[in-house]
Amino acid sequence: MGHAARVAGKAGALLVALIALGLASAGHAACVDPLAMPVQYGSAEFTQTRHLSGVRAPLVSRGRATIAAQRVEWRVTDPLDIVTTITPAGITQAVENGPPQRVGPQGGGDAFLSSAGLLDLLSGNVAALSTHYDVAREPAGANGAWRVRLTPKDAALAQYLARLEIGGCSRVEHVEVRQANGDWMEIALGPLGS
Amino acid sequence: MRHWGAILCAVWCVLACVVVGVRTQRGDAFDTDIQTLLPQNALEPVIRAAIADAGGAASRRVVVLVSPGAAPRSADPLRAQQAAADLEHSLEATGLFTPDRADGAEIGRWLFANRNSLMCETDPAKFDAAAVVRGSRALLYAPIAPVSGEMLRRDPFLLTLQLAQCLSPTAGAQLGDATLVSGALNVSAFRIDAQDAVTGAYAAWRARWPDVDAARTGAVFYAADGAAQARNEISLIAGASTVAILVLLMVCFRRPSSIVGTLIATAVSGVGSLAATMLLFPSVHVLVFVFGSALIGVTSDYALHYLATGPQSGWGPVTERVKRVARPLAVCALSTSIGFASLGFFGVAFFNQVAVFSVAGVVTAWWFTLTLLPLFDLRARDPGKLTRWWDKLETPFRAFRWTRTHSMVGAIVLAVVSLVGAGRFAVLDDVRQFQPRSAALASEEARVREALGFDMSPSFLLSYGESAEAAREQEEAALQRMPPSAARYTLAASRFDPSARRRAENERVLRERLYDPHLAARVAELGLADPAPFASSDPAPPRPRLIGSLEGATGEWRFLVAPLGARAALEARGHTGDAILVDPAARYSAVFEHFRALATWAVAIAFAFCAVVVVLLYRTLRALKVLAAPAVGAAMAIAVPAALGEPISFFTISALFVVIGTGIDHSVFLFEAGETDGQSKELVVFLAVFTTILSMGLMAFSSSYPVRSFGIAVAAGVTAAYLFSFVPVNFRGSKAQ
Repeated sequence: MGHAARVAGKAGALLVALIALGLASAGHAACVDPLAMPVQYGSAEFTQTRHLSGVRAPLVSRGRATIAAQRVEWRVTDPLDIVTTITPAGITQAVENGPPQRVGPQGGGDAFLSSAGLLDLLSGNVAALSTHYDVAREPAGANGAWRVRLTPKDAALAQYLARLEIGGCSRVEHVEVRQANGDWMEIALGPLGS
Repeated sequence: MRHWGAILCAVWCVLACVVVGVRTQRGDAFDTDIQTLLPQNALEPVIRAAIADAGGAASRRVVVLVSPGAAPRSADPLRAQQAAADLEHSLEATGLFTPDRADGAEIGRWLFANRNSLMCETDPAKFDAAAVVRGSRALLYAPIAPVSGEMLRRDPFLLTLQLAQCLSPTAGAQLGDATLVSGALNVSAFRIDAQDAVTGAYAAWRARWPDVDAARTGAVFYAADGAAQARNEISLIAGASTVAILVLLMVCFRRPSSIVGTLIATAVSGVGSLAATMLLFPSVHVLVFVFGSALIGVTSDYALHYLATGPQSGWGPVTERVKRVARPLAVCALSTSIGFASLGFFGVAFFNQVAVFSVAGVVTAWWFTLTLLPLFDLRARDPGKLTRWWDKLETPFRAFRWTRTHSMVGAIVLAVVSLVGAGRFAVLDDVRQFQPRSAALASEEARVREALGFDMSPSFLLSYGESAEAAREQEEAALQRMPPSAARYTLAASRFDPSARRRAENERVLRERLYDPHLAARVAELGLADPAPFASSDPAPPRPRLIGSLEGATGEWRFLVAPLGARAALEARGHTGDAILVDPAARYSAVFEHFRALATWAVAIAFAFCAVVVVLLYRTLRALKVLAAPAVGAAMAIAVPAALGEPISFFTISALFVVIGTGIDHSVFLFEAGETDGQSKELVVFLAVFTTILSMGLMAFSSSYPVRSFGIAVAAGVTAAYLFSFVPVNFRGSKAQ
């Protein structure tokens, strides 16, 4: 249970961070180097779809992600209201306007949820990714769209998380999280707003 | 006859050295647990066993919060995580530490296997099915819930995850980018070998990672700090008193052999004390040495009295010299031993050790002085010169005469001290104030508590019964009566492993209110294939170690200990039904209060014993005058600390036994001199008193309240007793026999 919670926490935070990477874009005119994108804060609509083995109906949730310095707010608005807030101090979650509650005992124990992972990434320090993941570029797609595959270096994390794939052109537009048990999740990001 | 006594004494000395040498090789030879001070017959068996279990479990916890440092290089959380991993590995390498990591997975498997017989609510009637459905939806759509398809098939309402959230202690604050290393020791935190291993590993780790911040808490760190402090104080007290004795002996005797003889007598006494204590007790409390170091001042007196017969008799025949001191030494050893042996009447394990330690030391010193010491004190080359020097030193003492002025000044001092003491008199029985806590460690503990956001109290809920099932039902009933917020902050075994009756009730409620009305909709919503919400785990997971540690047994009773958070300890009062809310510190304090009163009676009994002893030995009521000075000393041993603002406690009262013992020693020698052989004893008595006062007085500088109050009381009492011994007190009766 502890590992599962930790992995889920890592995956969730990673997603938010990757979205932040996508938000940190200079524009849509041309595809940029995903590992050299300048940081930019703002917010974007998202659609998260979870595919679980043995569950025929995908779990679809929609909402808005807001990235600020030292703070990420991941707000699900449909099918219910859940606000997940990630800061260097940890993660809290509020359900249906309830009080924020801390999620999981870990936080500091997870490299990615710490400022070195998440917040360095948000500020454009992509080297932090290669600290925890093997970063591999996939062949470029049509119109120069890029894909990057992240494989966890930590064996304990790799037990649960097979890989992460991000894709986009001038920003991250699509994220896939592939779990070791076959379950996977995809996130589609809308255009950046303020 | 004396030769056989010498041979047997030598055998005992060698045996004592062997016992001490062998036993100190064992890791558990010494004990630093403050709970050892507790009386063994004062608490009900179940409560005592529960306190021991709860205290043992709590004291074995080790928690270290590792945070990034302030420097740019060390501010990287990854470095803090690496440091934390290294620390955990180092602690595990001691073989004494088990990290908590395994517990999380163990409890998770247990909750999953028992998900349909457990409940967040303490009262099944208050089960809120709508909240469970809502909670499961939040977990399904939140970005960070560890949900899998297989889990949903067997646990469609994600009860496991919700139970994990509601049954674990709430962590209101955040760890941030810090990493928590936590676990438990496999042995008592109060074993010195465990303290050395853990603190050694921690110090080595600190040296390897000087740039990360660390805050630690755990009884092992406090105990190690206290033990180090006690060791330092012992060294100071023993060192200072030894130096004082050396200087005095050189000034008075002017021959190294006297110093050697006294040191050997003192050392032999110490080894005899320790050996006897080690033979009778499995582990010797470290505080025994602090109290026992006072014996240096007592046992060296015996050697001094014999050695003084050298210059006094011009180094006459050994038989004659031994005869001069044999009876007064016997009276002193007997009365002092009785005084210390009275400590054994308290029923306190720790004071049993002090009694054995002290009586063995006194008897060994007496035995050595009369049998082996004469072999070390050979005739001086120029006995006449040394005798004249001794007479010269003693002249001022002999010239001293007690006058009315002395009486008036003495009476005024006694009256002032008594009045001030009465005005400032206060008692202290609260064990929480006995031992000073390291400010640095307390600060680190505060940081850990702040980070965890969960403040455990030392109190716990004790549920008991003739079977584990009965104990569980009692605990469940108590939790049901407690306010929900109090129950929320209670780590109770029955929440994880309920009674059979509660399990059946929980399952019935879950079926009727959750599965029957909501399962079909959930299956349809998710498109679950082949749902199996009541499928059992195969194989069934073992009961987690954490839950097992909350259960105990003593005699015919089974009991459950449920640690309470600080808030729960306050809110649960008056709402626990038949279960008992136990505050160990309050109970310890009540016990110390009880025994303070008991010890006061014991002082009176000791006085009575001593009175009988001296009357029987001297066969005259005039001998009762030797009790006058100790009586005044005992009164001042209470009045002086009180006047100084030092509260009176069990330890102050226990110091009176030393005052009585040593006070009688001095009075006996002076009485003997005046009543029987007429030999002047003023100088040697002064030497004996002065060395005693020095060694005891230094204990008053201890930072530990028990030691300090003991030292102040003994120093004040012995000083007063010595000064009062000059007062011409007359009892009617015939001349001593």
